[in-house]
Amino acid sequence: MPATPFTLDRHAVAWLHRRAGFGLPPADLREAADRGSVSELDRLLGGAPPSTDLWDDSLLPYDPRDRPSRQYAINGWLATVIATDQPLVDRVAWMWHGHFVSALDKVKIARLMVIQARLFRSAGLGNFRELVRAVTLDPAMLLYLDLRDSTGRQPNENYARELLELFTMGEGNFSEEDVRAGALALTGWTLQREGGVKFVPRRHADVSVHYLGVDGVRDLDTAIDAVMANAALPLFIAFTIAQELLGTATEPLVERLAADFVDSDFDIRALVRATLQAGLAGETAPVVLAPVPWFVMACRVSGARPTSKVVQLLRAAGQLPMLPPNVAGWPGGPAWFGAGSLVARANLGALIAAATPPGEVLAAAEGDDSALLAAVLGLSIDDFSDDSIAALAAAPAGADRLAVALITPEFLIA
Amino acid sequence: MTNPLNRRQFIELGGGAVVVAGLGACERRGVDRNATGTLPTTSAPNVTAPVVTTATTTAAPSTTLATTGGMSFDGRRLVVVQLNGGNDLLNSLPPTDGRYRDMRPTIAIPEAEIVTLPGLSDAGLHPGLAGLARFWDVGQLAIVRGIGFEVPNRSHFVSMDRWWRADQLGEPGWLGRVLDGLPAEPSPLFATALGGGAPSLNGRGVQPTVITSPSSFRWVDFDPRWLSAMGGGGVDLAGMARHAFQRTVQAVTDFAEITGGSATSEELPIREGGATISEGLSVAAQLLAADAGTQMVVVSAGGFDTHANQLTEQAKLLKDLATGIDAFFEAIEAAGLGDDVLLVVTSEFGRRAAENGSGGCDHGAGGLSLAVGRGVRGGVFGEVDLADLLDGDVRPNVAPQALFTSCLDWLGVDAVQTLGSRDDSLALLH
Repeated sequence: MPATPFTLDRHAVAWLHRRAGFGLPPADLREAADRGSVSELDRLLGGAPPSTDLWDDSLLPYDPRDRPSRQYAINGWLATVIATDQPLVDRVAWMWHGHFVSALDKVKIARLMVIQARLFRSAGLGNFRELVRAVTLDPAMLLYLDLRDSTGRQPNENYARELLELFTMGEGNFSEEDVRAGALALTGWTLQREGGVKFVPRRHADVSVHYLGVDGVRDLDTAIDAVMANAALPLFIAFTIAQELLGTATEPLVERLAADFVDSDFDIRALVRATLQAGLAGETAPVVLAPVPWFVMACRVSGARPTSKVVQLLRAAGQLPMLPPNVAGWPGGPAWFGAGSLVARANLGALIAAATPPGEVLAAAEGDDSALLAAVLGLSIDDFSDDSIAALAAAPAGADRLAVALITPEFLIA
Repeated sequence: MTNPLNRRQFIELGGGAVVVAGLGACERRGVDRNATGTLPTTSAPNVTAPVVTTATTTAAPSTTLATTGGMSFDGRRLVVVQLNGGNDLLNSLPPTDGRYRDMRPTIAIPEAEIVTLPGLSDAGLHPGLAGLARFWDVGQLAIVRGIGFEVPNRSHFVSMDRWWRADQLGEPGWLGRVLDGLPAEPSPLFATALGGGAPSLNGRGVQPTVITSPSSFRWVDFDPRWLSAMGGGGVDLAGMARHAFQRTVQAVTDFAEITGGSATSEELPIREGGATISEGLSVAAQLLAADAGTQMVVVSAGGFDTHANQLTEQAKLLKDLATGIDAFFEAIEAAGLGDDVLLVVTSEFGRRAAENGSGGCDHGAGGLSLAVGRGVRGGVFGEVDLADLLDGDVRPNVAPQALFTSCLDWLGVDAVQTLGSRDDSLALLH
């Protein structure tokens, strides 16, 4: 076992659950700490199917005019992740949602966004080639990036561009000609009623194109073969996942992860495992928790289950599931320190604290032992900073103090 | 003139804070796609860094903007409206050239609906922009067509990044550099972003106040004094968070004072949906009209990425834009600030000249910018030549730097110092 950068293994376990999950209630975290970080990583990656999601399909009609189902779909994602017993599955699904972006404001049919979320939960740790193919033909994606409208006579480049730029290899690794050629190869896929997907040969460009340096590309599968064969792809995906989970992506690390990714025939689970192992070995930098993962973590840890005002406040904080601002997903890092977003976080912190039931977390917030509060909140450090302790002391003991704890830099930054 | 320095308590930056990287929205993504080879890289861009002074712990006279008399730009205010997604130039400003209708058989603007502008013979305005005609009539509207980088990039994110950072990737935003050059960190609402983050305002040391949802910008069941106890020190990520919290506490207080609202509340107003451009401009007008230290505002709005159903979508957006600008200047004039405000409209690129099969247009090159205000030299700038396209797109023929130069001239800020060089090819000001 490599040397851990954490002074105590229980800090490593707490780190794992803040980065690769959404935190744990105090008693569960202690059990995890008893198992140790190595076995906890195995457990998180174990491969058990995720807990059933909490969407009731009967409340999700295939109807773009049904507005209540939109809020229901958003709340359903939050509830599912808060309740999950497979946090890594849901953490990775959340990552793919911010990577293979579709958004409810254009897709409009909430049911299709739920179908996409289910794809990320069921296939997010599988084979990357299969994931890319499934995303390409995902009903919400067909709508969001217009592939369903793309025909041989008049191809639409929207999906073809983002497939390369945002989803698989990044800007600079393909040409405008590749975008146009890819658009032709991907024509012909249409969206039917109730999320059905159908290939219509007469809408497909019956031509062979030169795409990403490969001749003879003529349809979805030959196009995806060319994408997967591109040397930039494993580096781009390894970089993306390291950045997401570790907050850092040094060149040697990314090259090593990418090589293993290729050797594993693009097994995402193996890549995530190797990435988290690197983190446990010290390759980690601070990560600002985005509003949704932060909210979910605060609820899971405290036991609070606030309902009213949540969607409104998360919107003000700048992040709602299923509503990323554009096809690149949410900007990360210190962009989350915008004033409006911080005000909303403080308001959400107060909401969560007020909804926290009696228990270890609330009891710790009623006392003056800041180290105890740090431990029950699942932080991977021994205590809050002196600055944060001053803020905790300024707030009345109990729920108010808990609200402050939830927005200290120590809790906001994993 | 109210000096914001006198009214607000300043929270000074620690000396090390100025080296913290910019807080750009899309910062992480920006890193992802700075890749030039196969490996995404964060290495420095190959550009000459402009000479930009940065905020320091003391108000050193040597860093004062020489021509602005300190922090108020002699009262000049700048508003930038950023249309995210790539607003379509050709339907915004439909040309009379017959090729336009040939290339857009289903989504060309019907001739009868086009708003004609006196003195402009080869194009007119989209009907949604009719509200701008009154500015044209009095010579206070500059229309810049075909604006864009000479070698365009059709990626939203690369193009936005180039616009934000005046084509010097890795450098702070072009307006953020102005903030960095101020003698001290300005009051929080001095530079305000409404509707979303505005990386053009992100400096290396000084950041704008980002208010995504103005109606929710208040404390609900939370006492900001608890945050005040935290202090604002430190140069790491946690220190940035503390500093941002202290700025936020002040910003909420100032914002409530200016807009006549309450800084604290037990209930939030119920509001659904994203903010529109006109709502953003309405808040911008309140901030500017209060004469309480706000000098730069960026209002950003999305939805312009009209790959499909463009006729309906763009019509709504342009109407919102023009209505917002009209009401904005009404409020500005009423406040007696008509001589002091310049408003410009930008978008990361224009769209493909020919329509696609979805009733929309794909990403293009040359786009549209507007400048509105009494200081503006009205007229049309730049060319659209549908017989000479660049890979099917309107050929960029006005550099964004020329627009930035005029904006910096407006503020009285040295464009050479800020951008590295001047571009006087537009010279939009009187």
